[in-house]
Amino acid sequence: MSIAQNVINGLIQGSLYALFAASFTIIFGVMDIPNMAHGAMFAVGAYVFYQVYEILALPWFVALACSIVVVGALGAAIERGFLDRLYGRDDSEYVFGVILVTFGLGLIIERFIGQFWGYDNLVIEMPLLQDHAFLVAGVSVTLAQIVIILFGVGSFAFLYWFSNHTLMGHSLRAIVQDRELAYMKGIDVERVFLYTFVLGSAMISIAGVLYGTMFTLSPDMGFNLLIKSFIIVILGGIGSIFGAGIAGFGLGMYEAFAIAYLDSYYIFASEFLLLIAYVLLKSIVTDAETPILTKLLAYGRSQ
Amino acid sequence: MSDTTTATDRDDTAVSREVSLDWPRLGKQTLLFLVVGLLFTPLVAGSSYIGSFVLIILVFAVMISGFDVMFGWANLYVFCPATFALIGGVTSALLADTVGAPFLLSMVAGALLAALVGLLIAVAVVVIGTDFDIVIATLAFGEVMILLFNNWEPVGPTGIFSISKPAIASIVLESQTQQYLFLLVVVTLTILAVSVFTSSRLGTLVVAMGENEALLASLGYNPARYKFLTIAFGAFLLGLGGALYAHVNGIITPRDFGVHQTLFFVLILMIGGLRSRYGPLVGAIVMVTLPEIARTFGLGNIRPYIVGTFLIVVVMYMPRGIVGATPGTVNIGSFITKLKIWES
Repeated sequence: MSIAQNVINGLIQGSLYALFAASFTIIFGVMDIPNMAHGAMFAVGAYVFYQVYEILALPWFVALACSIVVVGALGAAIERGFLDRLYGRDDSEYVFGVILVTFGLGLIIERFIGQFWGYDNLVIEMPLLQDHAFLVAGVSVTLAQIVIILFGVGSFAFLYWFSNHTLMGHSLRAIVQDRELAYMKGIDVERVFLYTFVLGSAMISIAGVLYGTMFTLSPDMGFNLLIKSFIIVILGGIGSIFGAGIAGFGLGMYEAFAIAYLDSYYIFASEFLLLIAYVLLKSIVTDAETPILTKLLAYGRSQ
Repeated sequence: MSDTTTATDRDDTAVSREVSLDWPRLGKQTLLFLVVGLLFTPLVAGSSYIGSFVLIILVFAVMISGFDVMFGWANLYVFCPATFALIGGVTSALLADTVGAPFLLSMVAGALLAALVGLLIAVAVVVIGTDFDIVIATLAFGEVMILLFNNWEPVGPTGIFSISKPAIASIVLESQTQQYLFLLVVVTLTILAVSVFTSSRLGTLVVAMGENEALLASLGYNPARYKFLTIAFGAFLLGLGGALYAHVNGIITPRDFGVHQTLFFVLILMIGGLRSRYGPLVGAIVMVTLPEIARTFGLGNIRPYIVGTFLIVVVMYMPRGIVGATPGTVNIGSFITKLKIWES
């Protein structure tokens, strides 16, 4: 394989990650909600599209709109009904609570999808996207892949603009930094959080639809991408949209290039090891004044 | 100035004071537990269907007790308990069946290896320090281990199957009743060990570390030591439970011990109640029995709904769990009295 082919494969792989990670960046990175139900919402988006487009045979834009509305409403329900009650809690209790609650919601949603549509892999036939292919540097690229790349890059650009150049984005970051101060400054905290969460949900539904046109649908289709997105958002620096974008495409590129030399098992394991190394290094760097050996053996003994 | 003197005084008393264990009371409770457990023997002997999940409940009780040590008592956000259980189970199964070691030896070896890995994790936990990063790093570690086992020839994605039944010396525990009695003894010993540990002076210091690390360090204790100790001890029990799981179940598969299982452990522990003696057992009874009852009533596989709903309900409305919420058995009270060690 030539380098050009690898680059294009990496770009496609990276944008698949970016597709998922973009909305996760705003929800997990910026809003500080480790939403474990994100993978299930991704699947709901794809399945609703399948229902309207394949079974009811309506045009694709109607199906896409339905999917956005359903997942958006689901997001609103999750944010208002469950997460809202957890915001005031202590730092670790909050993170821990959100992980458990959203994981529970994800289990319920995935099981519901399984009962409603079954566990067999479903396929969305969309000739418009799947049959048009272009030759780029000797590699055949389908229109679906181009749309995915554009959407991946576009969502990051949009989020960057949203969080840095809009009033809502500024309010959002103010709330995450200090919720009470934001209240006092007259920011409508609840509304900003609700709108942003719905925005993230709408983005994940589009991602689910696009993913569904390229691959098959199954109730747990989002879980692996969710795990990857955790890696991407953390490696990109929590809260940094630009960093997450770079990390997403970087991870895709790494996988595309490494697949020529390594088993996929080593690639996945190396990504998790990278994450562990990053977390360890970060704590060593941020707490540089206490040497590790002191922490391990003699902390508290100095006085 | 006067403040400094009182601080040193308090320090001295804290060091010199011993927490005495109420051995007779503890012994009585242990015996009572054993007798109550024996009363259930006919139930297990009567039906192999009920027996099969009673055994699983006991195995879970061992594992969750271990998890409670690190997650509940020490308040350390170690999110790879399932990995410790997997290590214990795989080690024990391989030692017993390919090397031919006696069951009791292989079981303890599996638990010891899990404890050793626990020490490694403890080093990472001490270095990392912040809760959220600990969660991330331990989750990632769990994933790495599953990938490793999936690609390691003796285990593989299908896991190890037809593992030999538990045996004491040359007596193989073939029937469920024999296995039940054996597991009952193990659970009793586990609960006793955890009770002794948590009500000893060491355990008090562990709780203090979980509550306020900086304060403990300011008194001259090294919090890192208690982290090593609790994670290793917890991992030992988790590994022991994993080994029992492998031999009682006859099969152990790496992907059954991933993130899902870890969160299921957290759920069982939270339902039973953190830092409570019988909480892990109660939680295991509830979470293993409910899906089974639903199945016998013809509701199909609604386990994900039950687990999901309980996760939500426990976090939002019942943070102290079943045992923690029942007055009289509340352990949190005795834990507060234990903290009185800080008063001169």
